[in-house]
Amino acid sequence: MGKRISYIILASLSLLFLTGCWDQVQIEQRGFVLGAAIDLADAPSNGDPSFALTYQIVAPGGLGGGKAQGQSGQQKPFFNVTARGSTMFDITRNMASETSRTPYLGHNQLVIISSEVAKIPHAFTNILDIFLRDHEMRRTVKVLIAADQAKGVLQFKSPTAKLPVAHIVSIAENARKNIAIAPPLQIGEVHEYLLIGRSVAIPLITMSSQGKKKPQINRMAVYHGPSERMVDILSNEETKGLNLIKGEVQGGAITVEIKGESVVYEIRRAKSSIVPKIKGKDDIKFNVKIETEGKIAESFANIDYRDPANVSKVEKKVEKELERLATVTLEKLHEDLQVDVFDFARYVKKADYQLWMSIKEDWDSGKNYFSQSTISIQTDTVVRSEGAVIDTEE
Amino acid sequence: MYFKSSKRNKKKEQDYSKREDFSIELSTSLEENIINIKKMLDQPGDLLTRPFVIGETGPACAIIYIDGLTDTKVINESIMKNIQSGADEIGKGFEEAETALLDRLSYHVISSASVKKVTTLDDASLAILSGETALFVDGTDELLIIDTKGWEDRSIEQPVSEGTIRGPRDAFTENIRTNTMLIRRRIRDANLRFKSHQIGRRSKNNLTVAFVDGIVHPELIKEVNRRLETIDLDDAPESGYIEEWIEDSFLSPFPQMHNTERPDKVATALTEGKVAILLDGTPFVLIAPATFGAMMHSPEDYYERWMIGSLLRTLRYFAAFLAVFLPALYIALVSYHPGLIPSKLAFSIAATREGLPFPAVIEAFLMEITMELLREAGIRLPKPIGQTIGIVGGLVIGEAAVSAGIVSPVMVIIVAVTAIASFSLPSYSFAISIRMLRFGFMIAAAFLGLYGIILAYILINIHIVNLKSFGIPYTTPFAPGFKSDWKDLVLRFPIPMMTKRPKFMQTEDDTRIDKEGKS
Repeated sequence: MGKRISYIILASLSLLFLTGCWDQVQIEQRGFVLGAAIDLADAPSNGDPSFALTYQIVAPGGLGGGKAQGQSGQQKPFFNVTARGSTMFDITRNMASETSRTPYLGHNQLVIISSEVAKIPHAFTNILDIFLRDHEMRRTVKVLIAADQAKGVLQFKSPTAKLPVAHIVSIAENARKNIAIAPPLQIGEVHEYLLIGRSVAIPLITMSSQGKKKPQINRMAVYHGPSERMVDILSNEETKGLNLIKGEVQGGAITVEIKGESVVYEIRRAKSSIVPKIKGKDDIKFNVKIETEGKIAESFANIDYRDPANVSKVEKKVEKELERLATVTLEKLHEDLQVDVFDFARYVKKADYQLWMSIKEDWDSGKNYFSQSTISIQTDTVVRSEGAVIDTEE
Repeated sequence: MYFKSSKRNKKKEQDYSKREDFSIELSTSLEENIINIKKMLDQPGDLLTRPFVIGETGPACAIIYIDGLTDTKVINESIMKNIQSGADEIGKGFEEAETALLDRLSYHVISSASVKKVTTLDDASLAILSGETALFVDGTDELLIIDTKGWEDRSIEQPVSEGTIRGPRDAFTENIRTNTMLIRRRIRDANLRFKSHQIGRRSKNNLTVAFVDGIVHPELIKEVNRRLETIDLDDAPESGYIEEWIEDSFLSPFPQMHNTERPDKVATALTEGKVAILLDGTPFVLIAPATFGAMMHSPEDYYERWMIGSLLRTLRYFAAFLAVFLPALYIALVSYHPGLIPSKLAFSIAATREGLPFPAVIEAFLMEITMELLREAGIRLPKPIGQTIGIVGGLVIGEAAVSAGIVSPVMVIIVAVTAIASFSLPSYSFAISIRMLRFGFMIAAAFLGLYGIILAYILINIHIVNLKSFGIPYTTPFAPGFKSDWKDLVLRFPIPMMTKRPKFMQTEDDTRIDKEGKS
């Protein structure tokens, strides 16, 4: 009996030792991909578009975390690897032949797609597929569209962060300070839109051309769901209006003119409520109400804010400015592009499901019921605090 | 198991065949008795005989005792002085030796508190070896055994292995009488029972089972006594021998009895319906049954404010988790699942590991084994050197290993945290079983990553829920759950709210505090 037991133990132990640790890769041997950039490669060989994928891979020794090496200060903390191919997976495999470390995407934080690629029908969805399908990927990866070359974004030198990607990610998270910055869009959310063929606005990253190259995120790219491609880029003002209508503003400043001088109103809290009124396919109305709460952050005009009448004057002005921003945006998206990135479709679906089912194929394409709907804007502003100054010098 | 016991039986037969049979009756001749006793003990140098005669014509007598085990002062004062100062008076009417003389000595003369009569040589020798004095009178086949025990003893000192800031500072000693005294001083209940056993064929140790009648479940007492009676050992130098003999599963890594040197802990356990087993010659008292929850309790939880007690207990559970899982998690995360580490931490771990010669598993084993070595060396070495070892080990080896590029600084932190966490567990024997389990988890993590850790965890869980200590499930009151006992488990409720004794102990009297108040 003892013999039998020892055979069983031996057999089960050999199971462990023979198979070994087949997928064990020590942490220092992995190439942590922090960001990916996708551009169009020059030569399309057989008609299919060919892509250039750039990975930003961390070289941890250069981060200065470990002092075990001693001379770590000299090393660059990252390196970019570019490879070409027609599918993402193909490219990744090609890349393995070039880098000492196998790319590991578990810590990927950013996917930047150049607008050139995004404008090709279906390319955007096809590219994102691997970033959603592969087991190493996270759904919290942020998605950006680059105005020009995506690879260039990963190459700039950040004055604060050691890694360019870390710099970009922290800009994207600055939504609290600027109306034009929407909360970062994660790949999981993009996926939800893509699945049901809806349109979505994706933050756009541009490199400022003058002086040192710096990335900026203050505009949005419009992705048209039904045709699966990017159609246009919004201006800064249109982006502000879009964020206000969608209620995604977390903070930011509105400058108005009173008595010919500037007064800055800082939004502390903003929300929008969209109420659909549906009477039929051709009679869809949306009432958008934008409400903000905030304080007076800066006032060049000498106004006595102790007087409620003056405060409400500011409120009126701000309301007008908000309305203007919203109208500018609607002109562009509702009338020119006729693309519903506001997600009004969701409200229609909620309010009248039967109707929605009959028109969903023609919402912002084909017959385009979206463009036929009417949208009215209402704004409401409250000044909660006038600041700590009572008198401003003459 | 079967194999073992048959061997043991064979040995027994051999032993008895070699030994002479001394369970013979005493003879009436004083000289013969003394010779027999001396022969039986092979004339040891510390066996002293003091012959004397009562009165002018009275019978010849002798006392026999072992020097060192007896208190000579007691012999002088309560035996010799009394007999010799009144010798004429005592001897009157006893020209011929008679049994009545023994009675007179016993009832009228000897002023020791404990005097008894024995009739066999075996009993006499056991008494003499226990430190009592035998009084032989020529012409009788009985003798008097007088309690004169008195030897050098360690005084009551502070507990070494279970320190607290607040709480009684006395600890058990090697003397079982001192130990029973320490318990009696805490529970003055008339129902406190001490039941004696004798353990060890050769050592004949005293063993006492302490319990409070009326609280404890009668079946538990029966079971404890039944198990104690099966003990067949040559000697039992420490309660660990008893523990291993009577515990439910000696293959389990977990201690199924609590050992403590704190009388306050024992007293609390007794009032909860548990049983204490005291062995002569060791300061470690066993408490049965033990549960997983009780292993995490320190008496100080009850002495300090309940909020702090609760917090510290929660902390201890956390410490137990760290002590078991931390190195294993490190191995699994670093070699298999770097995606589960926060990005920045992952990069800095990768940075510190760059250029290291070993994979994380080897690194972890190296450091953990070094740590265990240091711990073991610290115990063996004399105290002043032990502290030096701590500094040398902790600082020099850790620091040097890092700068030599053998291990990463993160690993040093992990080993240190693990060691500190396992030290913070109040029960030493539980802490060492956790130390051992840690290595199992590390191996599991090395081969199968997190999956292996979970597998090992499930295995341990299967074992631990099957484990019983004297019929009480080890994991109770977690599972089987007794909601009312959760008041004193991870959290410690205020004492006035804990009105009932532990339900899982099935105590006869379940009320600890009467809500109506004192009546």
